[in-house]
Formats: sequence, structure tokens, C-alpha cells
Amino acid sequence: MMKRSVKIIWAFLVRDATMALSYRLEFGLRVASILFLVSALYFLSQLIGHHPALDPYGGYLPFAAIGLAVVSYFQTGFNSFAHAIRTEQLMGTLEAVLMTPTRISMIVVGSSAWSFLWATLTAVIYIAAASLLYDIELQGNPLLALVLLVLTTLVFASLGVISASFIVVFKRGNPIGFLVGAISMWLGGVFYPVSALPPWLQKVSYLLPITYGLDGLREILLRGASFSAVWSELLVLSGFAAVSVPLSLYCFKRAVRRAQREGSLLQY
Amino acid sequence: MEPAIQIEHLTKIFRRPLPRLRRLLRRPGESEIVALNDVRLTVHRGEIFGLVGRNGAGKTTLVKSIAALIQPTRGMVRVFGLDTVGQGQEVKRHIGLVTSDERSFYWRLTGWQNLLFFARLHGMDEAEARRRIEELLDIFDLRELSHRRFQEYSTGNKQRLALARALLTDPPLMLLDEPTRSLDPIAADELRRLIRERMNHLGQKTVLMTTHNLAEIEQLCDRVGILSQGRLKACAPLRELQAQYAVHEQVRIRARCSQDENGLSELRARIPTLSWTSPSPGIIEIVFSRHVQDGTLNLVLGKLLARGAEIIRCEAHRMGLKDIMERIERQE
Repeated sequence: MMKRSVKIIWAFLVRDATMALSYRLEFGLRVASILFLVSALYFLSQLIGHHPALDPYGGYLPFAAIGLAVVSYFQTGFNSFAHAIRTEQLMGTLEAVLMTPTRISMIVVGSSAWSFLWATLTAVIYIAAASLLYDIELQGNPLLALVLLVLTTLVFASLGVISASFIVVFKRGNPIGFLVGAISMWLGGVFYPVSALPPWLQKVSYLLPITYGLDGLREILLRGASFSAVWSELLVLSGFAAVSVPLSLYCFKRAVRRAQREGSLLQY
Repeated sequence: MEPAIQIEHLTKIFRRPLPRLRRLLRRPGESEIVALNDVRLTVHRGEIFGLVGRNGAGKTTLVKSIAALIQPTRGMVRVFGLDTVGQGQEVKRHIGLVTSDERSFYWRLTGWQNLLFFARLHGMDEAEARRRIEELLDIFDLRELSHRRFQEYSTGNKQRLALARALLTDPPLMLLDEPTRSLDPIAADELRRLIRERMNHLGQKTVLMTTHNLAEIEQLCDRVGILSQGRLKACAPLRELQAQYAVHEQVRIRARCSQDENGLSELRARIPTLSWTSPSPGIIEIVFSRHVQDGTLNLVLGKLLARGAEIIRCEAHRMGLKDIMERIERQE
């Protein structure tokens, strides 16, 4: 079972990598856009200089670079599943893929594999470029950082699966995508610390999983925090995951069953 | 032995979502479409079964129901004894589906890469997949094109690749949904030849095909089903359908003889549909319609020969599938 799942994910990964690399200009432009963004953040950090809220992280550029690197993961976890279904529907290939004895959940996961690989590459470029421009010293236990990253991505991925459920049934108009995506970017502490928000908005930000993910990862990577310093973030994220993962699987199962019954799975 | 396909009381109704809200908003339009209505059909192993019907008759819905892509509203579909609802994944292992939709491939990938991707999804072993792809590329004469992107293929070659993909796992049941649509006559003929030859060459396969090309059904199929407005109106070998529905034929006789008005008028008195012309001096052409088993042909030929006529040509045109379809629809 596990071996077959790995084979299927590999098949999708090879397919998507081949197609992505066939658009060489786009591929180059995407890498260039990351470099441009990091250089813009560098000049912004020069302008901001020292700020008490940013000093513990070593300045604005390390703060924002980690924010952007990690948020690309969260966004992938959140968007890629719905995007995978929608793309196959629009391309007209979903029917051919569904004619293979591959479960639809595996199709969704496999179709997202390339996006996660790309997010990893993006995160590495963000951090590497920021390190070149600015003296960033990554600290802390990489395994602990990985656990936190996986946990936060899992929460976002399960929200992404709920989002994909909407796409399966309604094809377009995904309210989860807008709400969680926009609010997380706005209040989650990606570009500025949560402490910069008015107190009542800070309270709202602590309802978002991204806040805990970013806080924890910055603490580990930029301040060398240990398990005892980030256990509360880990606990909250585990709580989010305990609710969102089963809920997302339930929603997706129901959505697929409904679409199959209605015969609308292939429509877009 | 289980039949290849067994369909019992299959009904598929497509309902528009949120009917109450639509009524509240006074959005007009039908709230449901009955695509298939109480269809019963058995397709035997090794049979080539043709399905015809007008656009919207339910052919594609029936094919997709058999392929476990659509769940029935009522009734059941079994493929080699497997239920398409409860055992959908297992059913798919037994089916190769070919449609005329060119978009079912990844256009930026080569033919080879496309086939390898689908072989992997079928869970084929890597070496076995590559060997099988090589074999299919040879069978369908696609080897030279295999490393070109799919977007560079002609429509005919795209259909060949679709057939190759459907045969990757050598499934015992092939579902061909209008496989020659949008092909030119020569490419369509070539594809029909491939279907006829390769289905036997690659093992005794059961084939269910839909088409608007009735000559295709006449050439390839053992039995034919006629779908009309979601109902299976007829299902039998073409000869039986002709015997049942096409009981008349038109006969045209061309003979060299003098125009004997009295003799022809005498014949017309006995065969009211008979008419004649003289396209050139000394040549007469007689046309009449008759019941396929009556003795009018003997009568006319006997009269002509008795008067010393030389028969140049005698043709009988029996009702084809199109005429039968029209007749069935007129009966409704």
C-alpha cells in the first residue's frame, strides 16, 4: 500500500516537474521574482533600521525572510489541493486519471507534490538570498523546526482539503480560501510582528494557526529556542490539527461521494 | 460464466443543485434531466457491441456508468460480476476507456511520457510498463512520434495514442466512446481496422462502442443497441433488427429490351409501387418496393425474361440502421 502510494506520488511529481520545466522562461521568472522580493525587503530593512519589536530576531530582513519562506509552505498546503482538482478538471485530464485504479485522495495528494517541492525550493531561496544580503545566522534544533513546520503545514493542508471539497462540489467560489488566506497574511505576522497590531486585532491573530507556526519557527531558527520555549505553540497547533484533519477528511469524502452521485466530478 | 457487462434497471437523473433556492429565486429551467431510464442490457464476453442514438440519447452517460465514473441514481451495473458502485476501483482494472476528447492527455508531455505516467498510475512495474509501451508504440505505429510532444500530434495519431493508453494493462473490456469522431474518412477507416484486428490480436476482448457512424456499427459489431431519450429501444444483431423493422426493400432493375407498355402496365396493376423509365433507347429501368419475403421480384424478373429481356443489373436496397433508428423514433 505504502509502496504504491510512493509510486503514485512519484508519477505525479515527474509529470509536473517535466511540465514546469518545459516552460523555461516562467521557471526563470519565478526564481527572479523571489530574488527581487528579497532585495526589496533588504532596502526596507535598511529604512526601518533598529526596532525594538524586531531586534530579538536580528532585524527586519531575517524576520520577513523567515515569514515569507514559511508562508510559501502554508500557502502551498492551503491552495495546492483545490488547485490540483481544478487544474485537472480544466485541462480535461481528470477523467483519464480517474479511469486508473487510483483513489481520488491520492490523485489530490500526488498532484500537490510538485507544489510542495517548489515551496521547499522557494523557502531555501528566500533564506539563502537573505543570508547573502544580511548576516543571518540560523540557530536552534532543525528537527524541532521541522516538526513545527510539518504540524503547521498539516493544519493548513487540512484547511486546503476542506477548500478542495468546495471545489469538488461547487467548482468555483471557495470561501475558505479567501477567509483563511487573506486573514492569515494580514494578521498572522508574516510581514510585521503581531505586536504591531492594535490590541483587539492581536486577540484575533491568536485564533489563527499561522501565528503560532510563525512565532515558533522564528523563535527556533532566529533565537535558538528549545522545546521548552515553544511547547505552547506545539500544543496549540496539535489542537488545531486534531480538529481540522478529521474534519477535512470527512468533508472531502462527502464532497466526492456527492459529486459522484450527481455525476459532476468531471464538470468545471 | 459472468457476462462482461450486466445492467439492471439503470436510471441516471442529473439534478441541478439547490432546487429550492432556484424556485425561491424564480430561476426557470428543468430541475432534473433523466439521462438514462430503466436500461437493461447484457453484453457477453468477447462480443463487439455497438450503441447508437442521437446526441443526448444517453450513450456517453451509459459508458461512464459502466466505467464507474458516474454512479447510478437507481439500478445497478456489473462488470465481470463486480459492482461499479461498491467495487469501482476493481472495475476500472478491467476497463480500457477511449473517448474522442483530445484534452485527456497532457499536451506538454511527449506521447511516451504520457503513456508512462498512466502506466505508473495503473501500478505497473517500471520495467513492465516500458516494455508494454514499446510494444504498443509498435502496434499503433507511433514509435517515430513517441518522443514528440502530444500537442504536435495529428488528430488521428492522438486517437491512436488514446487506444494505446487504453490497452496499457491489456484490459478484457474496451469502452470506445465515439472513437472515430473528428477523424477524416481514411484515418477513421484505419482506426476501425486497428480496432478490428487488434482487439482479436491482443486477446479476446469485449468491446462496447458508441458512434454516430452507422456504417462503423454495421462493419464491426455483433449486436447493436439503439438508445433514444435515455431508453434502450432495441437490442439485437443488425440482421434481426432489419428483419424486425426493415421489412421492405427497394428493388431497381436495369434491362435491355423493348419498352412493352402493356406488359409493364400489367405488372403495375399487381405491384402498385412499380414505375419505369427509359434512360436510353432499348434500355429500361424498373423500380419498385417489396416486402423482403414476397414473390414480386420473381414475378418481375420472370416477366422480363419471358419477353426476351437481358438483365443488366438488379439491386435491392434494404433499410439501414439510420432508417431503423428513424422508424423507432417515429413509433414513440
